Amino acid sequence: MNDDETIQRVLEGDVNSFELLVEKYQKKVVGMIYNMTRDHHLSEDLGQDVFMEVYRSLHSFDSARSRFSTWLYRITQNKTLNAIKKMKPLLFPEAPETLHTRNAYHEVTANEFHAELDRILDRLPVKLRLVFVWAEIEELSHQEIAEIEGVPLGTVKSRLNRAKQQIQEALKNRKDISHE
Amino acid sequence: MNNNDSYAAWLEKRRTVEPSSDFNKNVLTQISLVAQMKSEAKPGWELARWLEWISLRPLIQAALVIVGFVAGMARLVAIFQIILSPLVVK
Repeated sequence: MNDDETIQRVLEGDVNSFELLVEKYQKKVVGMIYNMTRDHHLSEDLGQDVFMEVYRSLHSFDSARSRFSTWLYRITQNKTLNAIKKMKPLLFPEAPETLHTRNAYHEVTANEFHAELDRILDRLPVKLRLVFVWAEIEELSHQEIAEIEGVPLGTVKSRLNRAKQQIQEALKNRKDISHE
Repeated sequence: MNNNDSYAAWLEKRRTVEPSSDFNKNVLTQISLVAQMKSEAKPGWELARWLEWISLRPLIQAALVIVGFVAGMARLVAIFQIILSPLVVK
């Protein structure tokens, strides 16, 4: 059963069919929110809010205008951005220790490298982080991201390039500092 | 492990975020409640939905306040006209 058929069933009153949609998309929705906010509780709560909103607004979804996934991801994105606006100072406290302060001979383990990448991603401007999360982590196509964000395809590509560039530069700076 | 491998491993780690096992159940419980409320069609349900919708839109709230103020002033003027009309010297 495809999404449109499932939606039709839900609209006809079969609430249990909504479970199919939740089952299919919950990982992407919660994953996206977590990767933007890095807050497990928030991603669970907001994920539930997203599906509630989807259920409430399902009658207004027009399959001729967009795919269901695009519509769902747009709702997810809007809720996530609103949450980030409200909670930004609490979400990303400065880490007490960064690799910049380590001595030159300290071997950087994979976990530390991952932690540094986490910190770099957290500090990216929201628009760049959003495109990076959608494209690189959630593996959506550039075209779908453009539709979700309502921007031209070229804008998505340039934002993604800038995000990757900034991550590379931040990693390079870290290396330079640790080798001084 | 070089940086490229480690970068790929990091992306993979970020992709493995899973919702809790009762996520689906929680969503369905909430939705069933909403569906039940809808089906019971209580008289205040639609009004409550409208109030919730309006409460999320400050511009509409501001517009309603202005409309209310103008209508109130117009009503006051009308009342004063009625009260004062006998006193007006023709």
